[in-house]
Amino acid sequence: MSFIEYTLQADSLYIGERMKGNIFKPCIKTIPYSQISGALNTKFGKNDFKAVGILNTDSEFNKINYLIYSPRDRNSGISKIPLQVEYLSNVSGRVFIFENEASNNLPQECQIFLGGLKSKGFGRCILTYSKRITDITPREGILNIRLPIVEKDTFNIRKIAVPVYGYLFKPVPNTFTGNYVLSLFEGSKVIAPSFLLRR
Amino acid sequence: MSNELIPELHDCLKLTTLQHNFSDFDRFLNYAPNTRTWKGVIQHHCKIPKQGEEAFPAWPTDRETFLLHIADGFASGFSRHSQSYRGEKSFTVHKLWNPKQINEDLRLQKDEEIIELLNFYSKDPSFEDLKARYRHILISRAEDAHPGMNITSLLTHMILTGKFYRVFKFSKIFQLAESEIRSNVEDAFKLTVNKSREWKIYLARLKFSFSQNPFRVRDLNILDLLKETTSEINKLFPDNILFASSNEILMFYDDHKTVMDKIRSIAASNRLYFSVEYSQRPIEEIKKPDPASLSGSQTENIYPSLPETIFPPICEICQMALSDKIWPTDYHAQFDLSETSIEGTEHLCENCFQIRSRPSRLRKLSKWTEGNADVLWLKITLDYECLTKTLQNLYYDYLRKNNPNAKEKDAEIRFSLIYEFQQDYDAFLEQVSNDLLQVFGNGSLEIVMNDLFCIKTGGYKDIFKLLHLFENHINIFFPEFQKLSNGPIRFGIAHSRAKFPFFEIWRELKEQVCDLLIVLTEHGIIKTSLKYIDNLLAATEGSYRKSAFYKLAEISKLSEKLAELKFNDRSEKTDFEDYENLKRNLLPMGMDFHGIVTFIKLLED
Repeated sequence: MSFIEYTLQADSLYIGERMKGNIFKPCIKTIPYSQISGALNTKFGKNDFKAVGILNTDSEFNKINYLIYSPRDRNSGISKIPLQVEYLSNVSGRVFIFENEASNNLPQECQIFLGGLKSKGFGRCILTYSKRITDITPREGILNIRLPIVEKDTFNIRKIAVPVYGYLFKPVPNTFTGNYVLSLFEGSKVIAPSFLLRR
Repeated sequence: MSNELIPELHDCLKLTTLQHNFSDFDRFLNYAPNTRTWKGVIQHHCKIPKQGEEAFPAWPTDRETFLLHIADGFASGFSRHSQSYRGEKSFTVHKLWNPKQINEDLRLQKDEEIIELLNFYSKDPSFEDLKARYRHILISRAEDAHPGMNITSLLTHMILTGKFYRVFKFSKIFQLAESEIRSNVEDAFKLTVNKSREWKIYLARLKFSFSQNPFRVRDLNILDLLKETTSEINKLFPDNILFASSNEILMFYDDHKTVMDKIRSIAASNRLYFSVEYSQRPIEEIKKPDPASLSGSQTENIYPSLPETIFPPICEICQMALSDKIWPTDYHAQFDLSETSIEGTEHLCENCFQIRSRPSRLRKLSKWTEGNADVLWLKITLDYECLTKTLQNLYYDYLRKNNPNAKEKDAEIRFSLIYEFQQDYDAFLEQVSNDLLQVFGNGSLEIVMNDLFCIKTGGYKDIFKLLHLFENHINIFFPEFQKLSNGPIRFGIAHSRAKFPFFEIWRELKEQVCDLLIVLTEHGIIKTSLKYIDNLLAATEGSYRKSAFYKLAEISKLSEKLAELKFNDRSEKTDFEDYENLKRNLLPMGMDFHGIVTFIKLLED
């Protein structure tokens, strides 16, 4: 079992939480399995990419910013109530791609689109090859990623001591819909490879 | 003789200057009460004297006194561990976190005072009666006067003995027949040893959480449910709880299944989940107040049943269940009202719908939200793991002051110390709450929980009022913690509009790792330590030119990197002098540039 690590950089990124504070749309401070795997599948026309991502915690990166915009109903031409959107700027993170058939022949550098508000210029990310990870020795720590429970073996998560559960969206292939699957969220106490844990 | 033995009252002679083993009691024999409690006072020790030692006059002779003896040993065993050096006894409590609090030795010395105490005991008083009359002695008298062991009060010891006694007495698992109790001290001693090995108790640490992401005032009802959960558990198991904060409980019990079933049912009815770390060990092995430190510890996570898959729509608040309600349509429908809300609709699950449907007691916050006022959220958090480590370090330092040869392993933290701390911590929270009321007034303060407050604010300057208040209270209650760069008590302050979704604030406050956090929503974060609270307040009093800070704050809105260049740029000498002045105050705190810019925004207000 091995992984390929890519660095991720973007000017601005909005990965929305599903909950919304009425007119406030918060963003996630991590890169969930569903988002990054989906983005890679879309980019390379596959459906079996398995990847997770984390955002750097250095204070100069991943600054929280706010954008106010008013979505417009295209049919009626009327603007709706303005929304305040929370997004990250000067985004820097790391992406860990499970090595399988889909991940063969990945380029050294590529561009993917992640998250929402793409039409407003958000989510253009540059992935740059960093290294191959073969040391996946698990140790106890606090999980730093979000991934579906069914994928825990793929990422060598051996034990879930104290879980923080949530649900991630899983699209149904060839449709515009999907389901929510039980997932493990950041903050869970687990035994897992170091690169998936908080420092 | 009266009918009831009050276990808390067993250490009567410790309130006096008489010897605990009754060796100088003869002249008061005529005043000795004839109650079961007094029998407990006389018979709660079972010690075979070593050579040259004075023997105790009696030992347990029935089930009650034997249980009292075990409970007393269990309660005192937590702080009375052996040390290999001798020194002068100290009969007053030394608070590890507050050594400057000097207690007077108030023990009763005069014969008439002691006779009065014995007469009081003859009236068969309750523990409440004893506290009402002799509280001043109970809180100042150390449970153990041996050098280095005077770190807990007699009051704490009495309370713990009472708790253990009642749990043993009413346990269906711990069996003790009257026939097992023999009439000689050697057999009574053997029985103590056997029962301490035979009786196994559970020590458990529970932590309650919720999945909801509250964003409207009524969603904060989940915090009321959290409070109700801990208070219901406290009511149900008053004798089993050894430590409790707003979301954590440390408790001991004899029957895991029965206790957990009850707690599970309380948590589930309040829509909470919890993790429990527990271990079952013989009484003689349980010493540290942390189940994780005991062998065979296990962790369970008690969640409500979670489906593998949820079909859309999912609840927008908890994101953990199918949404089958629409807010506010379904809420209004309950009262046959047509919808009048101008706000959008939200898809909620049954649980979150019920929580939001509960009337909120936070009426002031609700008004502030309508008026879009600015508020300060204040959360005080106690980190239990950090607390035990900190107390251990402080205890080690204290032992070394008494004896330079003391070893780190001697400085073991026991339950009695944690319980002693809890009493000061609760008093501290109450004092903070009272002072907030005084400083900001009832109209501007919403007490959400005993450690979470919301204050209507006129600007950032109120943050400095809070910092002054903390500095003052930490100094009064826990001055030793102020010397630490990462102490167990954490203060989180967040400034935002009242309308700003609470879950964003909550996310910052609940994951707080530094012990002083200031969040200016949409403007930045300051992470520092209580150790530097003086420096932070001193930095606010420096004389700076406002224009220099204004420039920096405005540039940082465009680019923080550019602002950093400006901050270090020597070409504009006047601005640079102001920045240097600020640097001198803030850099020793380890504050990064982002923190400095946030601090400048604070000063700008």
